[in-house]
Amino acid sequence: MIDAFLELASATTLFNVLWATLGGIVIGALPGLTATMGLALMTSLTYAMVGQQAILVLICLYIGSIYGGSRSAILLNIPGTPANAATALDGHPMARNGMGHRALGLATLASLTGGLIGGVALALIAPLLAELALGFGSTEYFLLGIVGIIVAGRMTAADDPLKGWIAGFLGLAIATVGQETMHAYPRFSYGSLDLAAGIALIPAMVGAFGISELLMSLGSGKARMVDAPMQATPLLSNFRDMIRRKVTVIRSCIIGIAIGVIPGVGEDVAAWISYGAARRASKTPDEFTKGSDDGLIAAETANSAALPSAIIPALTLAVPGSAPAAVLLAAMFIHNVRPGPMIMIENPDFVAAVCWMVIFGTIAMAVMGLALSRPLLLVLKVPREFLTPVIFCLCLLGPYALTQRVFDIYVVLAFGLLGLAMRLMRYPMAPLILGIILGGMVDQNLRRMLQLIDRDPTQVFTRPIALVLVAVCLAAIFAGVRRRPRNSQVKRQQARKQ
Amino acid sequence: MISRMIMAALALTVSAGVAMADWKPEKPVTVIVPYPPGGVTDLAVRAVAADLEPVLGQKVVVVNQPGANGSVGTQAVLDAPKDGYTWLSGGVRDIGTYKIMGMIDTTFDDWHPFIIASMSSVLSVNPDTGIGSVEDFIARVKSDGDKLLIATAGPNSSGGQGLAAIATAADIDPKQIVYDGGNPAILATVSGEAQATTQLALEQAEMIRAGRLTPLAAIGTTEIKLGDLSIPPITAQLPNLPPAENFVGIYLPDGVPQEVLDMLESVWTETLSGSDALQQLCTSRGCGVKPVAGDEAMKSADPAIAAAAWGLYDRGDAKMSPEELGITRP
Amino acid sequence: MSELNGRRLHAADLATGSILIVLGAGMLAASLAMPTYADRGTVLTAPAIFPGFIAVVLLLLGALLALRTVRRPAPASSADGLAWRPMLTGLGLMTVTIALIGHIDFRLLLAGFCVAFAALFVSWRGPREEIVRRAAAFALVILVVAVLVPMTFQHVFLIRLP
Repeated sequence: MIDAFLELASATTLFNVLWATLGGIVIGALPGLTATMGLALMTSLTYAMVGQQAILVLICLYIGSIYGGSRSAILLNIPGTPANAATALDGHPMARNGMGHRALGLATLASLTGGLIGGVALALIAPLLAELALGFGSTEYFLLGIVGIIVAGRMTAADDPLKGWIAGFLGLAIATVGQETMHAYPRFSYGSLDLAAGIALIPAMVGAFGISELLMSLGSGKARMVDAPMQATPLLSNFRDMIRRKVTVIRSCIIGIAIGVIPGVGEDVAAWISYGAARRASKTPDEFTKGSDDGLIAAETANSAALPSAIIPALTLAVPGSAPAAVLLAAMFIHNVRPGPMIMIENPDFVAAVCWMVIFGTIAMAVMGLALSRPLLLVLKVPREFLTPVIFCLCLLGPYALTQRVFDIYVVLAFGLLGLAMRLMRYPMAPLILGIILGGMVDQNLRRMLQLIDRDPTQVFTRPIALVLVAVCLAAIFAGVRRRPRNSQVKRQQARKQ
Repeated sequence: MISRMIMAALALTVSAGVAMADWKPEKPVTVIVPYPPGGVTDLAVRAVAADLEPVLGQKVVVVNQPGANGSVGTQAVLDAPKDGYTWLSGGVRDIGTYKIMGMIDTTFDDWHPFIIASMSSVLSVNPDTGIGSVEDFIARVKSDGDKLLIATAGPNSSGGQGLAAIATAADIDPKQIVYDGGNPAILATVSGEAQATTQLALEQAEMIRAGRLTPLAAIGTTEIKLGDLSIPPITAQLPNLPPAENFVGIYLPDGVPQEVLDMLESVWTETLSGSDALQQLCTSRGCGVKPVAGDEAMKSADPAIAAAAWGLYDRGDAKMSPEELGITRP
Repeated sequence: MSELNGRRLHAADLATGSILIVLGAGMLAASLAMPTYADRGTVLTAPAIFPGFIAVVLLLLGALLALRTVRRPAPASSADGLAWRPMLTGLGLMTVTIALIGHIDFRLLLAGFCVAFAALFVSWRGPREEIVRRAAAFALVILVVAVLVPMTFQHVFLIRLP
């Protein structure tokens, strides 16, 4: 570990960490630009660099952009990356109440804690975790996907989980459009090649969150984001708040690491499960979605802890834990690193170096993030008329830049419209996006699970992880049914009228 | 005087000839990878992109445009201006069968291929199964039937086509289980959810080296070398195996300026042979460097496409007979 | 608040419930019409299984929503205070812009969007200095949107714009 640190510690490293992390924060914070796009582009631009420095740049960019996404989630209610959708739920209400500075600070500390603990986990238990992740078969993937939808649906629309679930299953329905992989049969495509390719996640997300937010804000008739006077919050008080919420922090770290290490499931799902768990455990669950500290901390800690954890399967199994990690994996191959089960034996220094990269990037992210908090808050003061065209332009160009398909721009508009309609009727947006993320996974694993059960029916009862997931799923559904949604909704409306 | 004129004319022709082969791009060249990042084509293309940059004197930008088995990205290149700045990449089997699959209206003749490497599949099993040879494997497929699942990335993937080739040659009916990519299929074989896999050597390499998968044979006529390990060809046991290898390359659509093609053809073999990144990728992960362009590339691709097309037709996946496109049954 | 409530939400929920029932039924019918590929060994990998499952769930959720809405009395009025006109104008402007992509140079199009947006949404009344200041600020917005951002994409990210 120490050798790896000494080898990495140099002025070049410092320079690369700083610009890459800053670049990541900017890419993540700009609505429309995402971590996957940033990494894919940067892979091309770092061909010529020395291998280790190129990987360093990519990891720092990755960390920066997942963190940067929380900035726009809090300030604009537009999550910068899919991983920050849960952050917006509590972060944005805080900003609207004049607590923007506090929300930015808390999210930064939460990301710092999650990132550091995740980085340490990567160093200590990477191979062990990857082996455990192998126990995750088709049955578990299927159930995890369903649990993700049900938890997100219930958590985002607490007084009306039915609407959350409708949004989630609508997302799954949208994910069925396009060619499926088992028989290459184009579902719901009607001869259109663009539809056969399916609805891509990023344009759908940018439309549903970005465009619909712009339209809603035009409809709200307010001149600025925040009317309440803004309060500055010293860093020390943020620290105190974090320590007060230590249980949430620790729980979120564990959930983040556990979800991140599962191949193919990344920061987004981790944030949701952690958010749901925090709400379940909270003594004041009604504060959630209205500006709860616990909610914000749970989401940001978990997505940051999941990030290093998502690199673990990429390193030790050569299977990425998330979409950006897939690009990272490709970059490692290009730079002559051979991830796989042999890496701990052949190249343990590299794994140690990656841990240090994560730690450097996380620290740089926190330092720059805190320094940027005040200038960023000015965004809230810019009149909407000036902000709207800029965000609109980014929302068009960002998704286009990823694949360079004009069809994706139409998807942005279509989802902007769908998002607007759903918001007007009080449906949460996040389960819809999570449905699109998880659709492919649920679909294939459902059919594989059926095939496996057909072959050996006893396995239903011999899979402990699967049984736990079924229990979580049922608990989430029936806890939702028991509450009387009517009363709480009436109460909320009365509260609003006052 | 006359001789001077002839000299001048000659000089002109020569310089024109040089200028023809000397296409210099004025802006970055885009290579469309019609699959998600991190896959086989993506790796191979990114490995050579770095080596093409100094030759072209411009950036080579790799854009992943996944969807519908690669047909979306392929269509995008067909729709782009034919100015030589938008290149396609992918496997020859895929490009050669889009029309037969009824996906997009293009055949391999519409493209100028620049092949990078040949990719072969390997038949591997989970060590816990105790299967030690190809004969063992065939016997187990016959006796166990449904109990022996073979993981692939779909019937049209290299793994699926490799398995189909084995099934035809050995006259067996193996049970395929499909995953959403080569890597998940291999992981499922390692974890024991599936018992065997026929995915590409490139995807299996690290698991084979770690002893998590036991390679039985290379699905093809030549052996595969993974570093020091050599995997014998399956044709020792199954001599009438249809061609099962695939080639990954870069393709320029018909209609691009001739000088672009001339220039690329003149530097292709040399640049790629000297590419350390490609060499490294291939020797460590079991693919073969095959830097050929023009007619020679066509000649290598044709049998692979014919095998793929007729395989699809025989399985009932084709929308038309390969015969209609002039692809004769091998 | 700017979401629908009261009577309008009641009506919207009823409509959504019915739409979901129709959507679910349509999806189920389409799923039943899909090939099963049973000749490849098993019906358990049929492409229709997942959409069929989703269709049934959507159908149930839609029915639940509709039923729940019908059983509750419709509130007498609604007070959502939504500014429909600016919202729909904005939507129209965005739609036109996106429809024109690929036909007009991207930068020109974005500049046009900005000008139209300024004309429609920025108040040009008030004292002279105020108007000059707003115009200057908007010129800056146009510079960012139509010049700086596309240039960054083109030359730093090496993306070809439509």
